[in-house]
Amino acid sequence: MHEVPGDSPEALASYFLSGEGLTGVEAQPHDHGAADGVSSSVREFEYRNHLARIETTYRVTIDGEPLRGRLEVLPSGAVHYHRFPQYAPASAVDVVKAVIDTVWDKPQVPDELATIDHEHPAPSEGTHDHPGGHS
Amino acid sequence: MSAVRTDILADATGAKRFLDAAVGLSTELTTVTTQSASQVLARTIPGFRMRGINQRLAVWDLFVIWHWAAMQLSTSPPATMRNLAHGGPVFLPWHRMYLLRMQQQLQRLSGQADAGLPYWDWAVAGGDLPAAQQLTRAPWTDTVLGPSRGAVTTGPLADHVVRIEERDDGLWSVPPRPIQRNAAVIVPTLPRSTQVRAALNSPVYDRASWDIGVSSHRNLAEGWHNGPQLHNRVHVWVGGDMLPGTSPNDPVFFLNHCNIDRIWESWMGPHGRTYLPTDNQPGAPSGHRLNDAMVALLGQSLTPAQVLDPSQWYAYDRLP
Repeated sequence: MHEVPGDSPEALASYFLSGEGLTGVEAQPHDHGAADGVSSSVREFEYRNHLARIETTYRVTIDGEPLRGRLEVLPSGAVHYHRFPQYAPASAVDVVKAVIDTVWDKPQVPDELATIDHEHPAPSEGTHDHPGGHS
Repeated sequence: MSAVRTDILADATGAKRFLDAAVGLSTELTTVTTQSASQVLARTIPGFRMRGINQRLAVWDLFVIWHWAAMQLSTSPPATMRNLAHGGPVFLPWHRMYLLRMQQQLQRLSGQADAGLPYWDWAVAGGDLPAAQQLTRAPWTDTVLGPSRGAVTTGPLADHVVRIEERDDGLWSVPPRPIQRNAAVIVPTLPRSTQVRAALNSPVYDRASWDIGVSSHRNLAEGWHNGPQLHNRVHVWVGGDMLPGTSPNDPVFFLNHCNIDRIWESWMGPHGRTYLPTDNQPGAPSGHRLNDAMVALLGQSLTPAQVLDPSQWYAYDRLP
C-alpha cells in the first residue's frame, strides 16, 4: 500500500498512467453535450395505483448558441445542469444564469488534442462541433 | 506520524505551509500530458476526449482530473446524481481518502511528516456573520486565500494556476490561468452553525435508497437536503472554479472538504465509527459498500472500512 510520505511526482504519474485505478469500474458514455441544446428528462412514479410519467424537454440557447451541457429534472422537480454537480435550483432560469456567470464566456483555445489523439475521432469525424469558447 | 489538522484562520504557520504547497503542486510538472491523461480516461469513459492544448500537467492537475473522473463513474443500480464519489454513502469516505492523498503531498513538499491539511470553519467564520462580511473577511484577504470575486492574482495563491477546466461542452486543457471566483452571486450566504448541528444530530449515517433524496448524516453533510446546504452550498457560494466538476482547481475545495470531514469525525463521537451500507445490504449501490474499493487514480485505493478511523494519519485540533 502506498502510504506516507507522499509519493513522488514520478510515482504519481506512473500510477496515473497505468490506469490501474480505473480497473473494473463502469462509466456512462461521455456527455459532450447536445448539439441542438435539447435536453429531455423522464420522471415516473406511482400514485394511488396509477403510474404517472412526466417528460420534460428543454431547448436552451444563449445568444442563439445551443447549451450543450445536459439539463435534467430531478425527482424533486429541481433542475440540474450536469456541469455543476452541487447545484440544482427550482428554475432553469437560475441554471442558465449560473452558466452565463461561470462557463459561457470562455476565451477561445485551439483544440490541439483533436489532431494528435488518434485513439478517438476528432470533432470533424464525429457528431460534435467544439468551438472552444463562446466569446 | 499522525498530523494535527487546524483552523486556517487560527494557525498562520499551517496556513502558509498549505498555501505554499498549493502553489508548489500546481507548478510541479509531471510526465503526464493532457494527451496521455485523455487516453487513460478514454479507456474507461466511452467517447471521452479532452480538448484544448497539449501540455504537461502538474501534480495538482492530476488531483483535479481524479475528482472529475470519479464523477463520471456510475454505480449499480444507477441513481440520479450518484457516482463513485458523490450522491451516496461513499461521499464522506471517498473524500477522506482523497484529502489524505493531498495531505501526503503537503507533507512531501513541506518536508514535514506531521503537516496536516487546514480546515475552514465556514459556519462560525462565515455563515453566522452578516452577509456582507462573509464576502470580505478572512479567508478572503491577501494574507490567506485572496479575493472572493474575480481572478486571484494577489495574495499567496497569486501564482497558483489552472490548466484543466470543465466547459459547457466538456473537459478542456487551457493555457495556465489564475483561479476564478464569483462569491455570493448564486446563493447569498454560507451555511450556518444551526445547519451543522442538524447534521451532527442526524441519528443514522445513511439509509436506503442511498441517494440524494434521503434524510441522513451523509446527505445533510453533502448538502442535498433542502439544498444547496453545507458542502454543496460552499461550492455554490464560492462559485467560479468551485462550481464545475473540476472544483479542486481552487485550494478552497480542500478547506471545505476538510471541514466536512471534521463534521463527520465529530458525528462519529456519539454515534460510533459506523458506516452503512454493509457489504450484503440489499439494494446497496456498488462502489458505496463498506468494503468496496474506492476509485483512486493517485496511490492505492482504500475502502470505507479502512478510513473510518483516521487516527493513524491525523486528528483535528477541535471538533464542532
